[in-house]
Amino acid sequence: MDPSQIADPIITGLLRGGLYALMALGLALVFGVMNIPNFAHGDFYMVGAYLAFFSFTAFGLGPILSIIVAMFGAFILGVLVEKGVFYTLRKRSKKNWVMNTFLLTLGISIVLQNSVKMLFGANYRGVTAFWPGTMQIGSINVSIDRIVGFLIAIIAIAGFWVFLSKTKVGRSIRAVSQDETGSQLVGVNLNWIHTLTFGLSCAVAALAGASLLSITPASPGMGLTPLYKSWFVCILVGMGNVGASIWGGLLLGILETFAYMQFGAGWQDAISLAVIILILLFKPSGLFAKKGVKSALE
Amino acid sequence: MEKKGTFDISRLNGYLGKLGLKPLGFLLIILLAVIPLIITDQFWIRLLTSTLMMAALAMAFDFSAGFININNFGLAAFWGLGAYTSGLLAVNLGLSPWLGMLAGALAAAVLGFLVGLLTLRLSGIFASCMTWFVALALMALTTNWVELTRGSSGLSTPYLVDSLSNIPYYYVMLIIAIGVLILLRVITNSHIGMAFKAIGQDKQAAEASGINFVKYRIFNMTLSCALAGLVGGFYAHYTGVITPTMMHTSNTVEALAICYVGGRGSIWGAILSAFILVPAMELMKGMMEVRMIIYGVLLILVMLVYPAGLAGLCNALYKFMKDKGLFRKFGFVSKNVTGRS
Amino acid sequence: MKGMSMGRLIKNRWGVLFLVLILSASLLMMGGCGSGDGDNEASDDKTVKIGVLGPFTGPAARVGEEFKASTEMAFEAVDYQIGDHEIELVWIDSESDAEKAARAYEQAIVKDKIDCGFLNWHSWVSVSCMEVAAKYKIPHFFSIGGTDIVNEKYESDPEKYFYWVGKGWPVPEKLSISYVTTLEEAIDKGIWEPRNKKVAMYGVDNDWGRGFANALRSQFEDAGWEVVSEDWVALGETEFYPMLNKLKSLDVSVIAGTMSDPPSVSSFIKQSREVGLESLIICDGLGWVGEWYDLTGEASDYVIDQIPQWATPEAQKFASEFEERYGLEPGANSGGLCYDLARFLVKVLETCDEQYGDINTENLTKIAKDEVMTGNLTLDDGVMTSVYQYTPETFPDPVVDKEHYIFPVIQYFDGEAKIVWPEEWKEQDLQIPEGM
Repeated sequence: MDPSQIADPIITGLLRGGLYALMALGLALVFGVMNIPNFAHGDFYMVGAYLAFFSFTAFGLGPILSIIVAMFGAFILGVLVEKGVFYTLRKRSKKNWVMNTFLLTLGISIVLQNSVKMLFGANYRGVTAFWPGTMQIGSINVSIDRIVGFLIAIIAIAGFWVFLSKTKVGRSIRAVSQDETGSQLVGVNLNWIHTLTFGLSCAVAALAGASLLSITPASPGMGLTPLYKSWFVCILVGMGNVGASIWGGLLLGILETFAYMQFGAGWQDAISLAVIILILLFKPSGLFAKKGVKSALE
Repeated sequence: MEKKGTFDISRLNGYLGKLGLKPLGFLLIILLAVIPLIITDQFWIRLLTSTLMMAALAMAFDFSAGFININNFGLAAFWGLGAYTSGLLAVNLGLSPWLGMLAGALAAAVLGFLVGLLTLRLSGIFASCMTWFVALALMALTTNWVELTRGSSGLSTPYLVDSLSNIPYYYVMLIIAIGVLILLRVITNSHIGMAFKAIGQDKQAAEASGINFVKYRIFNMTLSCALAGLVGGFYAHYTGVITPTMMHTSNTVEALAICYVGGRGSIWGAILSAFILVPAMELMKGMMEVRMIIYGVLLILVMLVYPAGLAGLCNALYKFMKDKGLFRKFGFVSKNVTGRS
Repeated sequence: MKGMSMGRLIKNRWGVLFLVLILSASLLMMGGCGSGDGDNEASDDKTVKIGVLGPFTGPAARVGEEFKASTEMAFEAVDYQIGDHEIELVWIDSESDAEKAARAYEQAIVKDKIDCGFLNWHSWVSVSCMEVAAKYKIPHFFSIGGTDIVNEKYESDPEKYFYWVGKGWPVPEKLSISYVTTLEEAIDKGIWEPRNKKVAMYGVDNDWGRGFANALRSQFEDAGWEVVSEDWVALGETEFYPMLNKLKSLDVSVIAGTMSDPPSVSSFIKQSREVGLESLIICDGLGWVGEWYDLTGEASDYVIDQIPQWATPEAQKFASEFEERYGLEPGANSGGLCYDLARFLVKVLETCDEQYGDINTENLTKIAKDEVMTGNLTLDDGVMTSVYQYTPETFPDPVVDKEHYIFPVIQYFDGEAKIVWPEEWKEQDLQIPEGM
């Protein structure tokens, strides 16, 4: 095998995986902090893509500004959803919380997808490129959009890292994820942290959707694929393990690309599914299981 | 000395109680059985058939979700597996669709058994996810194995009966639905149902009190999947064509919404809500998005404000009427009411 | 919720809200039932109901939108009136899925009581609905779904399946041979000297994609080309980097195939340029959807396709009217061809009215059998291609030749299609990009 045959899929896979990592980060955060297995994560990705499309084409904002608008829009939507739905349920009952919130997110997903469909129709709305042009990496050409998308993912992940570990608010979020009752004792406002976390998670998903607009045009059902990919990543590394989800994302990107090259298009999903199922069977707490992190086991 | 009429009713009540039915439910079943004599329009017969089918699927869903607390997100795939098993056997080996339905149930049961076995170590939410992943893999396999399944072009299957009328299909589905109802009611009303609820609520506590967790959980998942497969086997020979998209998660979501609106853990609530939701959705077919939004909003509302669902509502009404003594006026004996909870 | 009393239920105002909600839902439903019945009674014998089958929602919804628009335009031209019959169109949504389509089609027959069916886009939908049409003996006119599976099904039992009256699209090999001819002619004339005679096939993973690629594959092989790979992608896939990199490393001169949904095909073309694929691209159906150029941009330069052009004044008139009314640029096949087929259907209905005085399922079936299938009834003034005609030899395909039904081979530049084949219509020679 000549080296480029191995290098090329790795490069392609990494570029793909960067955004999986970003998506998975948001999902892991919400699960880690709020204990919500978010089924609607992909739909915030979709909302981000739509917001970026309209900012870019209808309002003529530049690519960066469009992506920022998408992030803020989704953040606000996320805050509203948290206040309206999860906060209400939390006040009412915390019994069987994980399963109940899972079903609630399912309902949110249905409502979001179909509202968008009703408003904008089933048409595909895409842009040819945010930043036209290509670049040579190793032996392959890659569009600038993909590289920028990857960079955005890296910057966002790094930004998150700094936010969670260096700021006061970030540390409160981590405190809640480790010990909810304990954090309340030291004066963390739980409601506020929950709302903020959910909003941030939505913003991150929207960021991914917006940066990928030139690759995947916006359409109501576009969120499903990123949704189950971010779920794969989270299960792969262990649910709620925010740090490891980054590596999981990159790993999944590479895995898929190899599957694609070896078995042809159409099979990559089946292959990744098989891997995930094996992980759940033999190492249900994930590849990078950590103490204190919630696991899939009973 | 009781009057003769009341005596008969209480005897009937006793027999029905063993089947997990109420006199009112029994009346409704009789009504369903004579409907084709009253309504001759094929559209309504088809609609009722679909309704019964969704009701049966939602009951199978409820059997896992409402008792052992595992939401089988792959239910549609087991339904599809039943359909494909039956369809492929009929097309390739010329097996009779009637036997095919049973073969479909068997295939789904085997896979359900395996999935149950594989997810034993996983907690509720992850076991649910696992069923979902298995379903996605099954759908991908069905789509890509073109040589066998014809992929997304769809598999043309022979019809169950050689008739333009939809009434035979209606009766077959009615029998399946009633069978599912009685079977699940009988099981869940027995000590097995108690065991299910116990392991669904707290595995450790259940095991401590001597309940065989492994046995009950696997039994539950196998049966629930087998019933979905049986309905799938019927469906394959009802539409005459099946595609991998029938395994899509959106079909599971429909069953899930019907189950939850009907009231989790009641079994019969699913029928009630199917009879409200499925026809209502059909009449709004032109407004695809609106009806899905209604599903979503109903699901959220039920979860947030009234988790007991329609079944809970009916029980509350029933209790209210009983408290007021309204039943005695009509000669009903309110002895056997504990079944509904 | 064991033993929740009515009193508690009423005290719980959420419970009341829920109760009200359910009640209003049931009322809504009953209201719906009532009005539904009313509609059925209102339809009298003089109304002819035509079930128009198309992907109105789902991945090919855009095609459905154009179907709707061009069918409406054709029937508005006759004011929805044939003789003293009023025409009512019933939209049947196939959702691009064989099973859902069959269900919806059966529903339209039993609920809306359609007199005949019309149109359709995907072949697999044709196959499933053929069964339904045969079951209820409803003639279905001019469905576009064109692959072999439709012909196979018809030939398996012509007596049973002739209700699927005529395809508006011939089997792919009758059209795809033009691509090979175009390339071979260019090589003969010295316009192109390919570095090798290797070709890779690709396609959307359904019978259309596979049928087309297989037909083209054997035509390439007959012309002495070596087919080095085949790739099938799922409907709606937008990530092609791995596949394109693989094709690039195979060093093929030509890649050929088809995809039928706009996001896939535009991503494919765009990404093929991004990875720097040095092959001539035959992409059948790129121009199927009007606004494809907005999605691909200049990446579509040099791509070869086969699509009828708005050549005649009538065609241009149709296209501009269409755009004015619906704000959409019509695709040649989903708009123009559909418009022609709808006008052919109008002709069928008129003939039926003249011959039998009444338009119903039975008479339409007779017309289909006696007039359409025999070639007596034709549409001679099509805007997309000159003559639509069926003969007993070609049925269910239309007659394909230069006088009847043929599509030119085109090449795109800056979003404009230039005809490069056949010789008679040619606007310019096939252009070969640098270094290929």
